[in-house]
Amino acid sequence: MKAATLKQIASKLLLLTFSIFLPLTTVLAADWPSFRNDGGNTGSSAETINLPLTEQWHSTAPLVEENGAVVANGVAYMLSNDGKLYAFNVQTGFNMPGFPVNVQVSYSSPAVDQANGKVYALTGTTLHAFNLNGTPAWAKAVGGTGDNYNQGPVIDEGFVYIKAGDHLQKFNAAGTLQWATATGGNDTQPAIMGGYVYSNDQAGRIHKFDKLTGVEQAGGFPIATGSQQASLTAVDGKLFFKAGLLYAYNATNGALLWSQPAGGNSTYYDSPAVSGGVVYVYGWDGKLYAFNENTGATMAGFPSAILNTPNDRNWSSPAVAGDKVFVGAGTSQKLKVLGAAGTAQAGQVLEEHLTFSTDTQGFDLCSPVISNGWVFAMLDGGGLYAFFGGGGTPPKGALTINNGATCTESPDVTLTLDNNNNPDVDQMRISEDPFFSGAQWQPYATTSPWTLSAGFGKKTIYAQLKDKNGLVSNVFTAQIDYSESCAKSCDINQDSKIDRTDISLIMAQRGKTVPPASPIYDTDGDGKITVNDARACVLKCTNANCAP
Amino acid sequence: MNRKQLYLWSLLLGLLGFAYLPSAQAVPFLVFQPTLQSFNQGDTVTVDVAVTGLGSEIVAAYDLDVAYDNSLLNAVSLSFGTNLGDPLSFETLQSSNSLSPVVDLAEVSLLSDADLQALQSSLGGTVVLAQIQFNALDAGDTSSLQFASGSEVKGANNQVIVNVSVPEPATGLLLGAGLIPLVVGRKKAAVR
Repeated sequence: MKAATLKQIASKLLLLTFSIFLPLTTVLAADWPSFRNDGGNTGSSAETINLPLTEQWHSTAPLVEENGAVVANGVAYMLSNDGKLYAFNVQTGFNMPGFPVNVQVSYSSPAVDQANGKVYALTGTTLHAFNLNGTPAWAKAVGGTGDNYNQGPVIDEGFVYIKAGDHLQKFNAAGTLQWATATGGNDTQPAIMGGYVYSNDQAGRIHKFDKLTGVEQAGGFPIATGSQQASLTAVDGKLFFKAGLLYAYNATNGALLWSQPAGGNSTYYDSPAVSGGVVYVYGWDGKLYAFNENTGATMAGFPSAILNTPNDRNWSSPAVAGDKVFVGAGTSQKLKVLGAAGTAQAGQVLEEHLTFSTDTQGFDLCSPVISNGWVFAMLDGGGLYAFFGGGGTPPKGALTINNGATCTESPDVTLTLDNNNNPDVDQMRISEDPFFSGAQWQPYATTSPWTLSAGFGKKTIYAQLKDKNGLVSNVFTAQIDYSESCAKSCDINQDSKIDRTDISLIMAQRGKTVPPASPIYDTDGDGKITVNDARACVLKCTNANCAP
Repeated sequence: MNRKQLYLWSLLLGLLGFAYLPSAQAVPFLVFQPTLQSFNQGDTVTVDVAVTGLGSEIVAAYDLDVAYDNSLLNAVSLSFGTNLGDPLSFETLQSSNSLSPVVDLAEVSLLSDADLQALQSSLGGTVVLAQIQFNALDAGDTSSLQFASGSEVKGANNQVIVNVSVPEPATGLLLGAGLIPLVVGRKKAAVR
């Protein structure tokens, strides 16, 4: 009886313990408060993201140039190349009251210390601390900051660590400098593990500092390594660093554990993500690599297939959540979701989501962020995308203009929106702006009249569907040439087909202006007959290679 | 510093600038190859006209005016490349005019963007468009060669990938001057 009572008491205490910690865990566990989520820059989250992802909102407000988002307590914070710190309600995408606030132009990410109610921005020569309502808390001159592409301050046990002014610096939440130690590499931010802070000086050395005092440590440090401004990842007693090769070092004595080629040499590198004993990096060759963190052995299923054109700005750092890896695939402007190592679909692309930006640099160094079922993706010039992995199947759709016609002489066209026979689709939105600026959700209809924007030329219309459950389709598009004269467009000799004879006729008029040359040769309507007119018609040829 | 020394210094700075850029920085530009060559009276001077820095971009069409100093050079022949298709197989249309001191050359490929991608993917980001041959009327060098304003190169989806809005000399000279702030400035330009 006595034993049973003790057991009951123990059970109640255990339950009480869970009861105390559960709300705290629910609020904080799935935050992503700094650029790679934690002090060690692991780029990983313990949560599982259900597929499919559905785009819930998108904000073009942040002028993104390598910047990254961080998330805390339902708010996504983001620095911007326009010199502002933004904060968005994760559920709605609306600006939080008090934001944006002015700082300086930045390519970096902010950091949030939710427990102490601070959001930090390292911009210009200043470490700014704001309260969570956007009011300024304090600002400290810290010396010149570097590029910090996608990187930002690191939070650890209520302190904020930064590198600026050629010093590694530690502040408490009240803005009191704890210590500052000289070290190079202002373009990068530190990593923290246990009682030590690790810093890549960008001159081919990794330094180790006592977290409490800032005193630099010897005993195998500094490590001689490659020179690169990727951030270090510090976890499981190891340091991971990509600089040409992917290196793994013993964090205690600095010994090299292993190194592996991971996609070739580039000017910039992404930062390793580490989860479940596996290190992930996105290769310059466009493939996702995964290695056993202890041995360096390549994991089954990896490297993945090529996710983006090789050697084309494949610098985004992967983010891992449970059984999935998320990658901003370079200039493809596609967020790719792959199966993590050890899963049945390891290394396979499970989903991809096209984003939009007029900046062709795509994701560059921008890296996905994961928090509480949400996946955030930002890309150069394209703002911040918020996808929700709540499960369910989003609607699919297709769009045609004037039943698939390639040309129209009237700006008034008819759109046909195919909902894939999904009866749950009840809303749609349509725009010539890929970001749907000003476009409202409206009741779904199979056909819809649309007036093209002014000016002749190729027009692209974007559409999206939403179902009764709020699931949103990917954006789909259709194009049509809005021309003064469709009948004559490119078919110069009016033989009802466009072929190399027509192209030759245009080339023969090259250099002439309109008038006196006939406007039928001026297919782009710019008043001049150029190779542009010829090539535009090549792309419309009736047969391959413009054969007759 | 004489003109040639200035040119060479600028060229060196230009090359340093190229080295500083990420190799994936797809910023195509027109070049003469070789970028600079000296000649004596009576020499035959051969210059390739090329687009480089293409990355994954393609060349689908171009219309170029190559200007030269006709007190030093006289254009005598022009031969197009086959990097936009084989003209004998009706894969490309080529057109040229030569009216001293300008050689006008244009080409439009009849191949699809995908076919051009396949054709040019092995060229390492540099597509030679044509070769021009000159007779040297006097001793000198090719620094007077330039792409005249209005010269244009089209890429995938018929997008303009090079547009010469001011006369563009052998590109090293121009970029040498233009990249000086980059060399001494922030690395941002390399990523941006």
